[in-house]
Amino acid sequence: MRRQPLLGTLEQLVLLAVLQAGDQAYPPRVIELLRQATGRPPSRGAVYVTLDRLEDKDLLASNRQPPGEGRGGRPRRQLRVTAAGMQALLATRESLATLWVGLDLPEAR
Amino acid sequence: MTIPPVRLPRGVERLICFALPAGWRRDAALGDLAELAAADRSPAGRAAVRRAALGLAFHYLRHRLARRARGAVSLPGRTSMFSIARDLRHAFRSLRRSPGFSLAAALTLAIGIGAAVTVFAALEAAVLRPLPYPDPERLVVGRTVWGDRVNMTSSAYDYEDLRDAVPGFAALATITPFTSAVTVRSAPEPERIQVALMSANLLDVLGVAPLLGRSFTVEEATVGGPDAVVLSHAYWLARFDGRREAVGETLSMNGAAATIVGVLPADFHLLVSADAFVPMRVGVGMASARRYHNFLMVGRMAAGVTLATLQAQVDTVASRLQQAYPDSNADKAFRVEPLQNLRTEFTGGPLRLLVGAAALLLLLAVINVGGLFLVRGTARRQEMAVRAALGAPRRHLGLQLALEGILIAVGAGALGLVTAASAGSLVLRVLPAETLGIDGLPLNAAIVAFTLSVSLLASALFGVIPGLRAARTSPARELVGARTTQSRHAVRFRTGIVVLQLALSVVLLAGAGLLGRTLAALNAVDLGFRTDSVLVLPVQLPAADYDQPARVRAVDALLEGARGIPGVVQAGAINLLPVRDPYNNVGIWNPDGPDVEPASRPLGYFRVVTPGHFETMGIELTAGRLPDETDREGSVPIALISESLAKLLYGDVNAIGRALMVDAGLEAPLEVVGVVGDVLVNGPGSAPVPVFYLPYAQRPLADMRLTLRVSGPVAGVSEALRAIIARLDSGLAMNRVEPMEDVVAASVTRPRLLATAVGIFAAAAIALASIGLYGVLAQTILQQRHDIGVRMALGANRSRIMRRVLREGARLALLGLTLGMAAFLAAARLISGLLYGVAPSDPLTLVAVALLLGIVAILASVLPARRAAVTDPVIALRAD
Repeated sequence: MRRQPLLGTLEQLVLLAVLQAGDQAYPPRVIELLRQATGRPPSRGAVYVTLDRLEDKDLLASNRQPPGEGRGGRPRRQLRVTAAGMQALLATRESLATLWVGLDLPEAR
Repeated sequence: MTIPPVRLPRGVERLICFALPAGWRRDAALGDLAELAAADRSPAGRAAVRRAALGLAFHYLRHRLARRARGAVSLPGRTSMFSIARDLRHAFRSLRRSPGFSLAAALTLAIGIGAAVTVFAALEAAVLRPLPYPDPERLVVGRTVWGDRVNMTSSAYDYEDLRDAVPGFAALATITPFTSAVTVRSAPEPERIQVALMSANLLDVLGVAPLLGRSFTVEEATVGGPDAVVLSHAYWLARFDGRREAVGETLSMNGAAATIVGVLPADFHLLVSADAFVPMRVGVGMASARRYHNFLMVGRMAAGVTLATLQAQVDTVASRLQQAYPDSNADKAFRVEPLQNLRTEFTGGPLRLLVGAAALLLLLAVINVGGLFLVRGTARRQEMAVRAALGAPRRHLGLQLALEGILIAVGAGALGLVTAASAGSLVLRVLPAETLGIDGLPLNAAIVAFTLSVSLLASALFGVIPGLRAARTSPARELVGARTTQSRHAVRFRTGIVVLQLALSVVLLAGAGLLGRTLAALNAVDLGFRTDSVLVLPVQLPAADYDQPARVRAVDALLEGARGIPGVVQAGAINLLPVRDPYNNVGIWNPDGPDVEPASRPLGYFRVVTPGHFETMGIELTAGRLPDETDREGSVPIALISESLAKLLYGDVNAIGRALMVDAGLEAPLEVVGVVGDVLVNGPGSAPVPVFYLPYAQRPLADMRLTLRVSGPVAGVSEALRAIIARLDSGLAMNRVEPMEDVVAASVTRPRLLATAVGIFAAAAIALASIGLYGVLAQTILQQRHDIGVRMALGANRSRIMRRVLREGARLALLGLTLGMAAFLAAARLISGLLYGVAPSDPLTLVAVALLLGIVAILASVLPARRAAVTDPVIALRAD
């Protein structure tokens, strides 16, 4: 069996944000969710590059949607986590959980 | 509610289209940005859009670059954003594995880059750097022009007329581009300082604020006004310990008390290095006549005025002055130029030569390192072939080699910067740094940027090309073992490189040789006086304390005392030394000859001498008599003239007893009583000029130079002289006693340093070229080992094998020599202006260069030849 590739932190965050955004999973919304989750605005460029890379790895898919308002007639990119993406997320979570077992870290100040 | 669409700024759209791969996703990203723009139309919102676009572009470009560089990664799925960093690490490790190669390459290149950076730093300081004044492009310099003759200095009266009548000048100021010595008495012991004159408004024109106090007032710059002085920063520090209270104190200058009104900032510099500045007063001294040209005009153009308009306005005034003052201003015009020109005027010639030499050396170093890389590339072809066979894309292999080159180049660049920092002072002295007002070449952004670009360009030349060659490897051929044919290609390529190197070093050697010959010629020039065993000592009698009879008595007493010093054979005095003080020339004419327009009168150098001076200096008397004690005040005013003056005014007719008129405030003609040999007043390399000598007793000046001829050791002379001066007047400033030889040597400092600098370049060049020659011969022999082994097995003797290799070396040297000589002769124009007494095609120099190259080539060939000769045929054959 092929081993599941593990995800980087930004990759995890992006995939989870796409899942959270549901049918509103457009890049600006994903960035907004990431900002809320991490408390600081992520680098827009880094997120877009990560989106492309995840798509290259077939962990993410995107559909071309008709333009909405204020976009000067440009299409929207709707994002969807693929089955492989779900598996990668689960595998990563599992690995992390294994490593967390029995650890009791003092609260970070 | 509908949101009206917002047009994205053009720049943003272009940037995104450039950075992101084409496709609908790019359109979508643009749409996201448009949405962002539509949500916040304030300036802050627009800034946010621009930032977002920049961030996007940056990340995508980095991503794409990393991807491109990663090329060789063969395992799908395993990707890294940091593959360039990884490749760099790999390159670094690979260089560390061959430290000899890396060090040789870096050091070789450092020589070339060091030379280039040093010369660039000088170029930057001398030419490229803007003048350190506000709006420097509006600053102009005015020159006085008579037909083809251009004078840097102008007359004070012309200056005033131009200042007042040309509307295009926002302001016009002047400064003397030379200094005069002044004795300062209030110091613990009297000292001589160098003083320059400037107009009251000079600092305003330049836009320089005094560090302390102020510049001169109009009253101070008027005849009869209060005496004022502005100190240079250096003098203020040295003499007043940097005390702020110094402003307002008085300084006793030549016996007159002047109020210190200001101190200049440390970086103030305009052509002249003076300890102090006093106001120019029109009507006195150097500013007392329209025909005295002693002042450099510096102006600031009014707003909206172009140089052409200004010149037209100046021309109008000039023609008016020509009509109003035909005696002094006939044919006289003025030219305005950017002030920046002053710098290049003094440094242009040597700088051009140094730029050429440094460029050649850099090229040579790059070629050498390129050769090294080529060998390395050849040696690593198998490695590359294996990697290519395993599927590494060609461009990745090339990148690997190119990165190694870049690493070497950056290292060499750093070394080059260090070299430049230490060699900078030499170059500065070649360029007369005094006129530039710079005392060092500190690293600045421009220099670092230049170093970096030179390094990267060099690495592109030597790293990428062999890299491409190596990457063009055919794995099949390489692994099967078609080694020899490929290597022969490389050898032929390297042979070409070596010939080119030899040619380049021939060019540099020839240049250095000619400059060396120039120096020798300058040193061998007969100056018209003897320099050995002659000591000189400036003596200045403050005008306020010594009236004219007192001066004569004082100088007589000093000379008498000097003659009594053991070891002093002769003593005399002159107002201005030859070579060191080549100025003070006035119009001369023969009152019995045809009338000559005052403006077209020839100029003669005005000198005042005491009896004994000509004997001391060994200047030959060719007719008549020397000045003696009978030439006193009240006796017939006499003059001695130089041979060239005699020829100029009196033709071949005997000049003794003839009348001479000089434009020096004398009403009656002088009687010529003697003709003396020509003296090269302007130093070695100059032509003899007309000189006339007046006896000191008839023209007692305050400022004289004692000249003493000594025999035997001079150790005690200086002390004894000081004692004599102190006994005469303890208020007189003490000066250094100098051998006349030093005075003359100082005048050839620039040619000497230039020859040294180019000589160093040439030595580095020939060293690099000989290493290259050695390398290519050694490699050829390595590849012909089999061949040589066969010959030796068949009975060829050692000397024959050796001859063969030496012949190859000689062939390459001859090719390089021919090419180099042709190139040098084609470029000789560049150097001809800096030569003296030797033609650019001087056969002796060229033959010497050829001989030197031949010797070096033989030395570089002998070692490989010997190695070839001792080849053991058995081993050579077994190796295959």
